[in-house]
Amino acid sequence: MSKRQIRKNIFMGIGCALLLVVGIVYSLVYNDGRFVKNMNMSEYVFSNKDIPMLVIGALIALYTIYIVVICLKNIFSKKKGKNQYSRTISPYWGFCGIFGFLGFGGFWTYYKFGEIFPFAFFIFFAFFSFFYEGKLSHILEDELFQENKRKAQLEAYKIGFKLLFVVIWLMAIGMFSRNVEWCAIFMLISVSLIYAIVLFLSNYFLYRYEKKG
Amino acid sequence: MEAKFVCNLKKYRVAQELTQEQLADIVGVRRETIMRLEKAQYNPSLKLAIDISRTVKAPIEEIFIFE
Repeated sequence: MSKRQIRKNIFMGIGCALLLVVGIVYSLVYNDGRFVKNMNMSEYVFSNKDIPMLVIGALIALYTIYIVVICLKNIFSKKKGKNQYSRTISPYWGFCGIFGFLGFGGFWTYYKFGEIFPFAFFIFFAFFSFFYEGKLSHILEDELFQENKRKAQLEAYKIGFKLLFVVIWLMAIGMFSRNVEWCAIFMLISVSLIYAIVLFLSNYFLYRYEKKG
Repeated sequence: MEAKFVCNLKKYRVAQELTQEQLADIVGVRRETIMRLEKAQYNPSLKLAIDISRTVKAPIEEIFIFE
């Protein structure tokens, strides 16, 4: 995607955001806050005053579809291209994996506020894979590289599925069955960690296969 | 039983006075790929095999042998 096109998309996005603000102000001032305040859509009756909000909603939906289409197009055109290089990335980004320890904050938030979502931060351990991806930064993705990549991903997925099987088996035999919240926490931690492990191992195995020769 | 893979690429490449780097550039792969091929550690795709065979001016069946 050219810089000009990116700029155009950003301006269109800003335009959509401004339109949304204008629409919300209009709705609050002239239309009793319809579509802004909570309303029961099953009892909705069309009114001419709703047209601006409906048009704005449609425009934002069209913009979203447009962005998704552009992203997909770019992904596929990249795959088709010849002589692709691996992305340029510094191995130091691997230090972001430290954010994975934020997941332990989930024990505190659960104890204090009953919130369990911070356990999902264990996913950030996957950032440690940048240590290996950085070492394979900007190299030609020829057929050997592609084959090694597929092999590495397959190996990582296999390990991920095995771990997932163990987790499901533990749940099935009734682990934490006395407390549903503990089940949710256990599942959230397990799934986050498995996801992180699979992403990490994909890059680790790829590095190992590439440096084997 | 898996067939034994033998690669005579090095012989033909040297005969054409090409370095691994030069051959890699011509056929659009990395030097590492050529290196692995010469060590018979990698089984190339048909396209790569044909490209190499044309570059080193030798028949495929003489460069890549499955015993």
